[in-house]
Amino acid sequence: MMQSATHLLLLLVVLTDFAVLGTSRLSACIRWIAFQGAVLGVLSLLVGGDLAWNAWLLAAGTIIVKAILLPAFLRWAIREASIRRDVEPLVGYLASMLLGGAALGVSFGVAVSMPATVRNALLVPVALVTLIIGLIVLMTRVKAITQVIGYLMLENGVYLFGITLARRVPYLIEAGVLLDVFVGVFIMGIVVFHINREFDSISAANLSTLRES
Amino acid sequence: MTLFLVGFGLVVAAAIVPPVLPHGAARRSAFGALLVAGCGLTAAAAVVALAGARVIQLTWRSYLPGGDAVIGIDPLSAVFAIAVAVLGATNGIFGDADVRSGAHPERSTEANALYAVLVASLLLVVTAQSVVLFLTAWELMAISSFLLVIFDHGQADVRRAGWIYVVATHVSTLLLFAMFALWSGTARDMTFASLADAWAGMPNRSVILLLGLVAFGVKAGYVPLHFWLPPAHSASPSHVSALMSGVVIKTGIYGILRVLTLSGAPPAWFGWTVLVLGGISALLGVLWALAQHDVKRLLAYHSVENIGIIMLGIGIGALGGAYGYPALAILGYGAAVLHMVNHALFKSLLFMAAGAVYRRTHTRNIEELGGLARRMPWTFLMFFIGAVAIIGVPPLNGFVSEWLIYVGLYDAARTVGAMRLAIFAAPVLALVGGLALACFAKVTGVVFLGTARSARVAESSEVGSSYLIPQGVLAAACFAIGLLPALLATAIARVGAFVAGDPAWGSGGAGASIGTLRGPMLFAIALTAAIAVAALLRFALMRRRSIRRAPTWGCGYPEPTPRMQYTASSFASPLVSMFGAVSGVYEHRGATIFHSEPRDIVLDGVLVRAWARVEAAALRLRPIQQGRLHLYLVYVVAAVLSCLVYFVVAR
Repeated sequence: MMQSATHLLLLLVVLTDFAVLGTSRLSACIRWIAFQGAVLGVLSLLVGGDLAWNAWLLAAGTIIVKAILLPAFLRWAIREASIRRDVEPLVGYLASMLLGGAALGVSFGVAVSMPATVRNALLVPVALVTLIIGLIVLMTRVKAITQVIGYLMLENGVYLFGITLARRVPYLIEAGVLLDVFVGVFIMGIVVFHINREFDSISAANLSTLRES
Repeated sequence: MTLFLVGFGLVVAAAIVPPVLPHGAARRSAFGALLVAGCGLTAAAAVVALAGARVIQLTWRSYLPGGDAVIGIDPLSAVFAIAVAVLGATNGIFGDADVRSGAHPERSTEANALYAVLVASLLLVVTAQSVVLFLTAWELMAISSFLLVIFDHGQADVRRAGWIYVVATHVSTLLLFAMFALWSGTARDMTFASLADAWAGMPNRSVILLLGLVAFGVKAGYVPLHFWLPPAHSASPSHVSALMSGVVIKTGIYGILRVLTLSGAPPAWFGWTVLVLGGISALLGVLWALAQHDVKRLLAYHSVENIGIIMLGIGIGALGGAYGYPALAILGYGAAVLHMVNHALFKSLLFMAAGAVYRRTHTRNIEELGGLARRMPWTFLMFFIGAVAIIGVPPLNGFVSEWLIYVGLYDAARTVGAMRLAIFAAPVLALVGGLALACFAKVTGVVFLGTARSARVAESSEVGSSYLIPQGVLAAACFAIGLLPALLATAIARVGAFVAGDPAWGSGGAGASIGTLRGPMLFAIALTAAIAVAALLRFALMRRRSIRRAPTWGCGYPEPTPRMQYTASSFASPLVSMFGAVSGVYEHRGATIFHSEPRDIVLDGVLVRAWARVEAAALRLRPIQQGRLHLYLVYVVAAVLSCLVYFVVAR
């Protein structure tokens, strides 16, 4: 039972990945990422196997930070920095989805030859695909806030990798939760500096001096 | 060992303590006292170790990657540590005085601190017995000497010299990483002792030897790896040039000898390569020196020449080891080490004398100097002693070590088999000696004799005692080794035997050939006595006569001008033009004009052009830089993905 439930949740993670890729409204994106956070929290319970008190604590912490606090923070940022509500992709939604599909293929191809220390066959490819799709979001979206979402996905991917090690190195995964604080700082930056679009625009002068010619 | 560590600590203190003291006399005397005391103690520790024929070692257990840090003094370390300590003290005193009367007296604390760091790192380089400690010290030496080279960084040519130096020295470090990585692959840990144990079972020993030869060669600066040496020596403050030429480039020699010590007798090709490289750089070094007008560049090219001579010695030693003549191996390595010490002494002396001239005249161009022998008699005397020593004329020390190398070459000729061919290095060495004589006749003649070529030179006066005493110490050391070389025979044989891997450390019959030093010693003493008698005789005869002084090259003209003298260009031209394009000199002749322009054919002819090609190719990659964040993210993702795919394919 537990095994099939884990599989179901992992498939849900992949589906939310694609949902974020295909959504055009920011608030929907945030909803999806919140949902993904909640799924991850439950997953950490199921994959960990034993239901010791610190596993519960970890799951609760993950859900509170990833599914409740950060999304609320993001919505607040949108309101506060008066960001327009659409995603503004550099690459179209369909093309993003296709890229995501390619990422899925690559992940499953690569995961086969990963060192097989993981009991669950789906965990590593799903972690990889979440990581890569997070990178795709980072690359192809114009706004700073969408980049934060991409970064969150990237981190969720890393978190999934971490779950596989949770038994042996528990502190690693707890440190992973702390990384979310970094995302919080990110969002604070957006609010404080009223960054509406990508980071290039706030520091365009610096970045163009990077380019010699 | 305690003695050495205390001395080392004092040198480090010379870097740290003076900057925190208040300005003024306390700070100045603290630097001098700490440096001289530290160098004295380390030298004493090294002398004790060498004389007692003992290897002293100290190990710090370490659980960091790279393993234990081992520091030790064996005969090879000892002789280099002595050279470092002696030059460290004399050049430091000179440099302190020189920088304070230079263009940036307010930065003398900074220069002194960096200088003490350099001396400390040099001491560590020659005593480190484990890879990580050695490489750390090596890098510290590279960085501190780089910062000293660019001390006058306001000038564009100084910055250029600094860049060339830092690139060259890091190429050397990189190759060292490669060499030690290959070597330690099958070793127990990263100490030199385990490297030596692992050598016999090593798969690609030739690659390691070649890497070592090139990596340490960049530092030693034999042709064609000498290209960084002339600009760096010309740009840096005089005492730094003296230390660089005296011991920093010798760490390259130390490295080659250390590799030979750890690896045992090398294959024959290695010996021949070293011998040929040595011959080439001795000859080309002195030839290029002859064409120079910048006195410090000229001395730098002479360092290339002398590194070549040292390499001849190492070549003889390596061939002796390869063909199974242990006595020759000991003789060759011993001669190389002795010439290393001698060159360190007289080259520092020459750089200091040249630095004193520069301090008074503000020019390094010998075409603008002249007639300084009457204005700076003591400096002239020091430079003259250094010049006689470097040419290799008795009764000074340069002669002793070159004599040993000749003896080695002639002994090689009396062996059986291919090794006899080494005798062809003897005429090369003779030619080098002759050209060096011409070169120093040129410098000494143009700079110190004749009449002043500019008003500033005519007004210059003698430098103070803090300039002259360090030079005097080195000159005395040159005389001591020149007059009493036989006293050093045991020590030299010991070092040579240590490098050659002779378990008896040269105390058996194998070290006997160094006993030939008795001949040159008697000759030097006889010659000195003859010169003294002649000088006394001249003094006695001239005492009652009046001496009339007239401008040199006056030739009875009513209005002689300084332009009527020999110039450096015209003096060197007949010799230089004999060698054609190899000399790298461009001469401009006209009805009323003659001057020559030396160029370094490796740096200007090859490297600069090759670099221009590389730059042009690199420019094609410029569109990659768009300054857009998303594009950079694409690069990152592409790199990560290709790593992943490579991971799959590789499995």
